[in-house]
Amino acid sequence: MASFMLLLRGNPSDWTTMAPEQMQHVMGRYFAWTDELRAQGREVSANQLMPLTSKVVSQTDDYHVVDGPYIETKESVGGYYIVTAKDMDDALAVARDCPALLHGSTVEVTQVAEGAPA
Amino acid sequence: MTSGPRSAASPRADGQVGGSGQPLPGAAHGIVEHLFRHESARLVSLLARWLGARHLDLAEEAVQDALVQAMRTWPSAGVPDNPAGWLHRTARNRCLDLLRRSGREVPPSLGREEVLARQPAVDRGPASTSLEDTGFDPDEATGEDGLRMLLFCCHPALKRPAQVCLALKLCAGLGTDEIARAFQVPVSTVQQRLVRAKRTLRQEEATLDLPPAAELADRVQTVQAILFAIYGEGYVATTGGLTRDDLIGEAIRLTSLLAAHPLGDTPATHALLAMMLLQTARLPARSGPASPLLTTAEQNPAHWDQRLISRGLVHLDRAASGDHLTDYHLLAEIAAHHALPDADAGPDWQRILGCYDLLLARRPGAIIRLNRAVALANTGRSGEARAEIDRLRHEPELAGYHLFHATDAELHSRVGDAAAADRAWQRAERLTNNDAERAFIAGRRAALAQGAPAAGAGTEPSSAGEPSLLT
Repeated sequence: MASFMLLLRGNPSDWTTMAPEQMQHVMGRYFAWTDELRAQGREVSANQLMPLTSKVVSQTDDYHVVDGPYIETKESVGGYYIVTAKDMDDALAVARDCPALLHGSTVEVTQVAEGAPA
Repeated sequence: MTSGPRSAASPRADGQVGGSGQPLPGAAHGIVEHLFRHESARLVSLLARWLGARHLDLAEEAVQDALVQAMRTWPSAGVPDNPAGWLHRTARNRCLDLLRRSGREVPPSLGREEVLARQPAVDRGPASTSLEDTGFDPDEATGEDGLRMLLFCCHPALKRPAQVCLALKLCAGLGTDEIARAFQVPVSTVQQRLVRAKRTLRQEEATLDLPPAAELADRVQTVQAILFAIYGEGYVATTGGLTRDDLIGEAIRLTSLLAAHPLGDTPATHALLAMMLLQTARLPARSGPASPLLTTAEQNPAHWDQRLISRGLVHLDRAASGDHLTDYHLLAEIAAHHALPDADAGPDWQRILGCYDLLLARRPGAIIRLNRAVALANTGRSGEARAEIDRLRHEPELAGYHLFHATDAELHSRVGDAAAADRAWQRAERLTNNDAERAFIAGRRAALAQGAPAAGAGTEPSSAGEPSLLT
């Protein structure tokens, strides 16, 4: 089994108008998803990032720090999951069930190098 | 849960209608049903009281932010031992953040001992599955602030639709989209209504203090009226499904809250709550098909929620304590007769008719006349019922009301006029946009076509839940 990182990118401003009940349902979907992954014998670890704290450091322009990287659309990385999977196809299958897709986010899947901490 | 006075007074317990829902996602992680909705309402009331009503928007924003943070962190970090306490602390800290960031002064009350004292206990052992286990006393914690918020929403400067909207948002924790769906209006309409209502309240310098004693009785009556309207909207909701249960559940929860507070603990409030509980007890389970057109004879008492019936009877008993009769008393009595039918003879239609006579004398109206006509038909006075229905045919209030035509159809069926009955069913069918009702009507028409006699007694069109009755 290899480890894959599922990077969730979304639009956090959606949350500011969502009904509380709806938020609880969204949260419930994440629980159901990770419960299912663990039931399949996968290791799952996750971290959510603080909303709208994304900054980009770049060497051009004298190490200038800017808001971003997707400031135009206010899209940002909302969090990531590290999930074990057989291969990329297996990891993509996991990503396809990620509840983030249901509310307009995208999920970027990357394999984590062997030996890296999961 | 038994229906003793303690549980009857618990808003949280009363908010649960039906009982046998599907297992909810997150339940295994210790998250109770409607946790976010109810906590958001509770916290907005709490924070707005501390910050002052003029900072209502800030309180709402802080609570929303706390929910977002919970939604984002709980799935990965795990659900805290005391979810409600976590939300409370997070929302409060967020309030302080927002205040500081905007350069506004932090109200002294937000740091005082009293605040800490009323903070829910945290870290009380293993994850609990119900709020009762978390050290909260729901009555104590929600009662006072929740009631003040209800009274605030019923400020006399606001029109009824604005009061209802505001109460659903602030006291019931519904989102603007949920309110819009419930009333079948665009989301933007609800948003506008809320913005304008809040602006009006700011202009009026409305506070969350209790109204002066002279105004209190009126204000409590307005609260009762909007809760009745919310219940009625849920009871006749044409959208079916969750919205209906949500409105009914919230109406019952908030009315329980009102009844549990010394200021709202009046016979009229208990009568209103009794009516809601007794009426709701006979609604089909939340997943079942909704058909208010089911005749009493077709209803199966085995499917009724006996727990709600006994709770309703407790409140009916308390409603009898005063000497002041309200419409709610009569509606509750009607609901009680329906909920306690004789095993062979069915409900006591003679007494139901008596209630409608009294209601009609107090509040003449086409809907009550229609309901009274049904009671007439069921006491064997079909001829009089027929005549009344024919007189009511031209009432503008009823022309577009599908249950009028359904009643008309049932009465025609009874005297064997299948053709007239079918025409009336068709009119009823055109006027409903509820799938379950449409299916029910199709069944009735099919039975007519096969020459089957009308099943049971006449329909009873929404005896209590009709919002146009009182509002």
